[in-house]
Amino acid sequence: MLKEIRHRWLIHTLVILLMAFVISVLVIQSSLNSSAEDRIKELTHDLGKGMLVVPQGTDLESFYSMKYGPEVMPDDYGDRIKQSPVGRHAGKIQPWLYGNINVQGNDLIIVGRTVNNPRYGYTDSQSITIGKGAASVLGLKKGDALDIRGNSFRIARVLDPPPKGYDMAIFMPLGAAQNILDKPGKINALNMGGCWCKLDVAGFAGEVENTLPGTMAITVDGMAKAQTQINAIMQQYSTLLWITGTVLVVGSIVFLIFYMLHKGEREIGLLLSIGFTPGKIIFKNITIAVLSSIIGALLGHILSVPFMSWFGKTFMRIGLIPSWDYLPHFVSASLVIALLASAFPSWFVTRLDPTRLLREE
Amino acid sequence: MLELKNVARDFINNKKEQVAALTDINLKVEKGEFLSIVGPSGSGKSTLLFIIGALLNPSEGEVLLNGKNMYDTTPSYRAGLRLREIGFVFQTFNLIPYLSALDNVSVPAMLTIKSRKKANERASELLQRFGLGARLEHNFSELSVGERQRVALCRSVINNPDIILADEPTGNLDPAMTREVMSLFKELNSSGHTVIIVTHEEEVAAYAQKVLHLQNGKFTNGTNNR
Repeated sequence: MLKEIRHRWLIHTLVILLMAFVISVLVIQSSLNSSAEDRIKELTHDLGKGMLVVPQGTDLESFYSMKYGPEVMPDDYGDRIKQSPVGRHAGKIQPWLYGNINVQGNDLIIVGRTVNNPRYGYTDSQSITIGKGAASVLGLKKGDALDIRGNSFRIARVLDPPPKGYDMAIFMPLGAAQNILDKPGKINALNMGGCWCKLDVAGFAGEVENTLPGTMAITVDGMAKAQTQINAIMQQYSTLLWITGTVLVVGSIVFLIFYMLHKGEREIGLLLSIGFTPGKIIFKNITIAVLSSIIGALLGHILSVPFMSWFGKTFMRIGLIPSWDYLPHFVSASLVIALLASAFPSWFVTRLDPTRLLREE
Repeated sequence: MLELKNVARDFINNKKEQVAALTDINLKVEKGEFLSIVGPSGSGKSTLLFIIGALLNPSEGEVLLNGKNMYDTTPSYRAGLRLREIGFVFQTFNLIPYLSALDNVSVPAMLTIKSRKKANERASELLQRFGLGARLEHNFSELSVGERQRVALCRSVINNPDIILADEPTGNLDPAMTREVMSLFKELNSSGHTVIIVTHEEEVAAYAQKVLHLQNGKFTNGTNNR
């Protein structure tokens, strides 16, 4: 049987790839709602009630995972917003510059902020505040000096406990961060707070983006809307998607079986003539179909990981991963479909007149 | 050993007309006999062979093997007959193209002895006996026409069947190879196998002890005993 599959590897590969593609689409459709909802909840928790303005092209998933890309925007964008008509809706505007840095072999995060938050305790350009984890790995305490890329700082405070996720962070004035990260006059985030209960938040975000060219304005409301829209589209096309998917899977299995039977008619006649029972031949064909379908279903699940990640980043600006809970369902369904789709053609051909199958042309 | 009583077989042709392929066939073949059935193309030779070989139900009549009508049995019983009691050889060999000579021969043995190793050993012995010891791992495309037919012969006898049925076994062979293959059939017959060959070539039929002529689905001249 394996030699037969190897002999007809091309057609088996094509069928498996088609099935894998269909299954991956169905897996994405099935997992999208729950996965997107969970991820959006996490992100909106991070985002809070404010609006985050970031440079266009920022990978939000990486951003919230504290892996910062090269995207930046001018640090006067905060002032520009204040002076614009939309500024009256923004109560608090905070320009931030985040970056990744290696200090003495330790991967740390630089957070540059203009806000003079008493919690952080830095009051001049030479003082910094660091998270407990960063202090520990660097062996530092309050009052110690730290040299970062040729800039000397004094530790004004060790944050214990640090803000969530900032254990390995070094907080410093924006100018110092720009200098260390070699991004003078640049920021990569603008946090805006305000009461927008009576505003069309999506419209407001659009006005912010118009005022600050090359930016994306992210709000809880916007993310929720994106998810709702995607869910609605998925809901709308769900039935069509499932019917098309099922037809494609059934079609590919039936095609595979008919192809095998058509190409191997004489072989079937021969197997009958040397003592194979019709049952054995049917079993052989069904086994091949089932094997192909299981491989297709597994491959489809694996393929759905990059597909879904791409889908989430492209349409929802978040990273999504498919749910593996569906794997047994899809494998079982593929197996049943393969059984049903291959049984009849396999049975049918064994009922054909063997004299026709074996007769010389 | 093998007896056909009033066997007939009809077909429905493309025009939905009933066509008689065989009519009122009566035949007795004793164990160890070598029988040729000669006739032109379309005379019903292959149909008769497939009926004898438990592959094709007759429309009428009985086919008795050791006194038992093989068509009163289940399909799996008849599959068992084809596996153990009857070996087939075809004009175009019907070897499985992606299998080696050894694998082609050992396939029927794997069904009976359920051991790939033992089946391969038996197939290897047979192939060596038939002069193909150096061709065990060669695929269909790497074998000469004569070698292909010898592989097919080995496959037909691997389960040591009582009856060997051959459908135009020399149809694709040149005269030298025809002689070589027919001498192998003679050898198999000498070692106790009953051999039934259908052919349109009188010279090939002449290797048999008994020759029957088939025309339009009927025996025309009874038997020619040699």
